[in-house]
Amino acid sequence: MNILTTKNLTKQYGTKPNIVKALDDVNISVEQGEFVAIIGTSGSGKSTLLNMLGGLDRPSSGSVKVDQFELCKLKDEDLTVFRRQRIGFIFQNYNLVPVLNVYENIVMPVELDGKKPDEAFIREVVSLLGLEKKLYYMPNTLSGGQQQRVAIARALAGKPAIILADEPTGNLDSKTSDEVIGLLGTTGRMFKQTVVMITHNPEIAERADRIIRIEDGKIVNA
Amino acid sequence: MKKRKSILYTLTSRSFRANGKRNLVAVFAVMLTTLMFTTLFVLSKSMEENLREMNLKMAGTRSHLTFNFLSEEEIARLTAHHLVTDWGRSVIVGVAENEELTGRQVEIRYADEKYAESTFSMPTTGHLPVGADEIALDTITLDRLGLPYETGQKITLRWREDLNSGEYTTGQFVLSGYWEGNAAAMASMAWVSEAFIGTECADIDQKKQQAAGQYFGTTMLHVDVSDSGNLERTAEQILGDTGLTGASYGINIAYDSVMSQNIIRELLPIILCMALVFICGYLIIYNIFQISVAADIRFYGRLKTLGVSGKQLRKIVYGQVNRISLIGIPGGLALGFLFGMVLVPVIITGTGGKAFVSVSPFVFAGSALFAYLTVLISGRKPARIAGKVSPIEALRYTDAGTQSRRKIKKSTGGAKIPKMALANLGRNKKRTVLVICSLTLGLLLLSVVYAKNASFDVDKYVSQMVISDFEVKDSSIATNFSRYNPYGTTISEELLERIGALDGLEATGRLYSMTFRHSPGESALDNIRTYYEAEGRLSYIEATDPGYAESYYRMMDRKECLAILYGIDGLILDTFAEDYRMLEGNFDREAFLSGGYVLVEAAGGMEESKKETQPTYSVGDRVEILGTSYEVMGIVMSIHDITEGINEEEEAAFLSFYLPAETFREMYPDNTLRKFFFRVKDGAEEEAEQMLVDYREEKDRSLAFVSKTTLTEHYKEQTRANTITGFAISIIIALVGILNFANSMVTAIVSRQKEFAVIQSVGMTKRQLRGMLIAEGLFYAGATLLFSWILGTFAVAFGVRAMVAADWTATFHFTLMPLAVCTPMLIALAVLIPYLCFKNLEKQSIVERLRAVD
Repeated sequence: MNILTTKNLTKQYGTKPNIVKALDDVNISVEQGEFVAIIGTSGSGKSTLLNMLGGLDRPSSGSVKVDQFELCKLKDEDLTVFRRQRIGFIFQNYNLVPVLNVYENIVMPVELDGKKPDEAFIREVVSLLGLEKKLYYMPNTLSGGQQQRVAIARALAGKPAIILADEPTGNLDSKTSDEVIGLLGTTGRMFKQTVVMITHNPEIAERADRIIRIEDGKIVNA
Repeated sequence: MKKRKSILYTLTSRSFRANGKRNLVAVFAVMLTTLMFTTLFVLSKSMEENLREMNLKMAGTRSHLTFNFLSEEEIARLTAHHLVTDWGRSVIVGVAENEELTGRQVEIRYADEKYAESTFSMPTTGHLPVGADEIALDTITLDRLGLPYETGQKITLRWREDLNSGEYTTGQFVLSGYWEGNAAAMASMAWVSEAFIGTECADIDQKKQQAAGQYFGTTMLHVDVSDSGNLERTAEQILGDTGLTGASYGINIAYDSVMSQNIIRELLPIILCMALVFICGYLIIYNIFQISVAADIRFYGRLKTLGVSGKQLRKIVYGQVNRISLIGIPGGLALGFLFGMVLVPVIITGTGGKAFVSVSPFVFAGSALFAYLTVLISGRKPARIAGKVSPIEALRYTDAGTQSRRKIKKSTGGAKIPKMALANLGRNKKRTVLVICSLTLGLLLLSVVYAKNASFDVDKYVSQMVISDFEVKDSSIATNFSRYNPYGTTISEELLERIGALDGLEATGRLYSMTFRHSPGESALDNIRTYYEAEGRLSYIEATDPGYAESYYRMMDRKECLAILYGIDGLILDTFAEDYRMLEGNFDREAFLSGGYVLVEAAGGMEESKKETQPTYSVGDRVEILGTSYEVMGIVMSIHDITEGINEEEEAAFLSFYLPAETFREMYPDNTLRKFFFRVKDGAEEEAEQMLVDYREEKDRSLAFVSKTTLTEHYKEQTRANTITGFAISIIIALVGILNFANSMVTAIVSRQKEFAVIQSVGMTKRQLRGMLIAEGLFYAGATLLFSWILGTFAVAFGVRAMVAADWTATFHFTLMPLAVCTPMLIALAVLIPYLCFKNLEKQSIVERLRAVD
């Protein structure tokens, strides 16, 4: 079953005569439980694609469908709610909220949604990621690898339909990168999560089930 | 649901705490805004309360209703009525008629505690009299009697039990207590004991006394009712319910709705000030919030990426706004109240007694509400911006705005420092305009207040009010409550001698007056009748002044009326020589003094236009006054300020004539002077005033005089309120403008740290960077000053000139003094702030700043 599909997805920036096509007629689909890597050089449009998939940005034309939801048909406010319920984000710069501690950061999207976090599940995720002892630390006291693990825990906490990871290892050294990607894969498999990760690093991409290559806004091989 | 609230709460309160320094500026701004509101409210409320208190003091009592001539049994019945909340009782003995007390009514009465309190006449030292020989007086009476403020001393008063006889009763008393006299009231109280009236006026029949027009032994009841709304109706209802219909009662005019309306009119300028405070508060608080949100926009964007909805973001912003208000508003309330406490006594003067500062809860609730509203309105747009932030754009958003509508910039001048500075200001045009507006508003207001104030012309005011340096008047016309006594002794031969002996005496003027019965003659009567019967004037007078209408009918009936004859000379004649005083005819001083001529005062119709006066005689007519015939030389305007005072007859005088003082003396050789005017050489005023004060101390305590100096003082006091409020408010507004300016400058520099690092990395020296920042500050100040000078010139040249034109006590001078003073100050600030910011910036290396993550 396809949990994610895009249809003729196009995104243009700028105005004439300087139009830049960041995405040009992109059609991809991702199945439930798959771990997909999107690889491309800097400026190839991979970040734009991820933003479209997560509903952070709107396409110029074409459509994105996630778990029955046609994203471009949602209003801004509904898109926000959709995001916190169905999408788990992992960013290159972790995007932890500096004023909240580790535990608060993890449960934040769930609580924002007015739900009670599933404590047992969160405990499981936290122990799997080795964060038990860091729960009450503030983000700025953690190393990069630890911060990214918190971000993974946060992405998993709401049991989303899909996890989108944008260069999750971009700010990490190679040993830590390895560890984080390992954890991402393991947790994905354990909790049957769909993971879409973008990276420019072929070695990292190799760890995924499938690789989608993007160049100048176009899919090269699907 | 509870949990969600908690995470938002955590986010709000922790991010609030994380931005301590920035919030401090916001708290300070809110505090200043609240301070201004509170000061305004404290001032207006205090003014209102003091005014009401003054009205009550003028009325002489706090009580709502007064009932007269009631027997003990009737009093018991009336006070039992359910609408009566409190009451006090008094028994009248008489009016003290000691020589020294002429000009001041001192009422000898018994009063219970409540009555004494409600008439502002409770002894503050000593106690109300108990023994039959005890008495309590106020300081005014003691002053008049020339006695020290000491209890236990002997007091002698005399009064008449029967007002129709010349027989005086003399009483010897011991002073049991005294209190600060209420100068605003028409009478002073002299309290005797219940024991005294028990023996003196037992068995007095109230109704018999009432019918006889006597007061000795009659009761007076002061009553408070539950609702002060319609006192007349309440009084009638109480009397009706208790079967006392027709009993004599009085209403306290201080509770009259017309009085309340006057109070409200005084408040109108305050409402205008409130609007100003709001605008000024908005300009700064909005700017600060805008800056805060801009600085936090990435944070908000990140939250949005993680699923915080727009509504929740707005909640976070409002949460911070509320926290700022929670600290700023109480602080402002406290400061504002203190500020008000300092200002109120300065502003409210001459209301008789000390001014007090209102502590009404309305003041605090009102100011807090208005301040909070200002904060909320200021926070609306920034909150909307935060709520609407797009997660992607947030990452690129900069406060300064990088998108330019210009596509091409044709400039070959290169990157010159001043040009860069100017361009930087253009990056956030809205903020630049906001800050310039905020600063200009304060400066403009300051200039207008100053120019308006500088135009006050005391000399002009005084020259219109008095015709000489000094005027001495008979004590019987010194108050508004007694009738003129044509044989008064105040202006005695001795006083005139002392004035005549003054070194610098330059000129004098005499004023005599006497009422007499006058037959106007057919043609004058016809003229008067035609006038009154036209345009419904008569029916209007009947409705508003029945006494006057009665006099009119009597005049028409008997073909005679009451007229008043003035005898004038010297300085008073000078005023008639002024054109505007003469309505018809020409004033020939020599001819007038040589005799045979009379001046007739125009009456009625004066309000509408100077020319449309009540026609009586025309120039050239002959008038017979007390058997002698005079030719009318001219029709003159009424000279209220000179002839002031209530005339000796109760009947209204229809006509006023002016004859030379000497002629008057021949007709009425026994009359004494009503007023005496005299002018002294410049520099001799002090000596003359001292002479009058000495004379009053030694010879006649009832002497009343007005000097130009006291009048000037009085006038200055009157205008001080406006001046100080105006200055205080405009200075605070200017301060707020400067705070706004400083805050904008500082944030503009701090938020561009990285940008500066970039410029420095490509080769801008520290000196150049500092120069650029200072240039930015100078452009800001320059623009503000440019606007302030241009607008200020217009506002003063046209606005203030127009305001002043309507005010006969002012002379317009063009001045922009405050701007001249502020210009160097503002320029200094514009250099200093960027300089200090730069010092701070320098502490970090270029590389550190380049790497800094947001």
